[in-house]
Amino acid sequence: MSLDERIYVKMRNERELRGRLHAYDQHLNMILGDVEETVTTVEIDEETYEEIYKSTKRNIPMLFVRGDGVILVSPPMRTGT
Amino acid sequence: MAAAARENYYIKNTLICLLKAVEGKVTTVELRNENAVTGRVDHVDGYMNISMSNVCYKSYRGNMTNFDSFFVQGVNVRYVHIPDEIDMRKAMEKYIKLESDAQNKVQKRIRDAAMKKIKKRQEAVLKAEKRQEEKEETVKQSTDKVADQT
Repeated sequence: MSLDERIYVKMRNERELRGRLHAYDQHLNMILGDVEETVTTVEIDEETYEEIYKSTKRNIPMLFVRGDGVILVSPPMRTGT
Repeated sequence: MAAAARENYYIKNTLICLLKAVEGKVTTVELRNENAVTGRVDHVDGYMNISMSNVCYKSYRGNMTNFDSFFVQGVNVRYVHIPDEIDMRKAMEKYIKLESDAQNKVQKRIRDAAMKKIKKRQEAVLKAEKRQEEKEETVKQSTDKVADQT
């Protein structure tokens, strides 16, 4: 598959991970290296009622991800594609 | 007995074997409820339940609480940070080697037992053949004697 390749993982709770896939198993538990996690939140402005999308990013050198939070795995998307 | 076997199966056949490499190290476990636990991982079992000691439980709001011991149910784990000093490949190889060594030992024992059985059976057959030959010899000798007398 795409071992040792950079991948994009979409997870539950509006989280996305971009990192290098080092290992995976049948439950989709994964070991990702050099991973950047993006958490997206939607805030609704009280006055204008418009939706403001906020995302928080952080970097983690080596991460074990439990499979039941994973929704999909794909090659990295260029932002905007 | 069956429960322990299932746990061992999970440890061997999923990535939990790598989580076992984190045992004894200090790291952060992030939970499904957005809170994080940082401390020393004491033990990881086949269901990803993690028992830790000397932990600092950080809520997503930033509140911190210290506990001497802490137990996380496997289902509640979202992430486990892997400390840099762990060499993943070596840990995997070590675990796979341990398992394959144990398996080889068992297989060798089974093979040896089978060989022993086969050998025993062959010896029994040989003995029976020898006895048969000796019988025929004695019969032959007695018929020769009778033939000589007449």
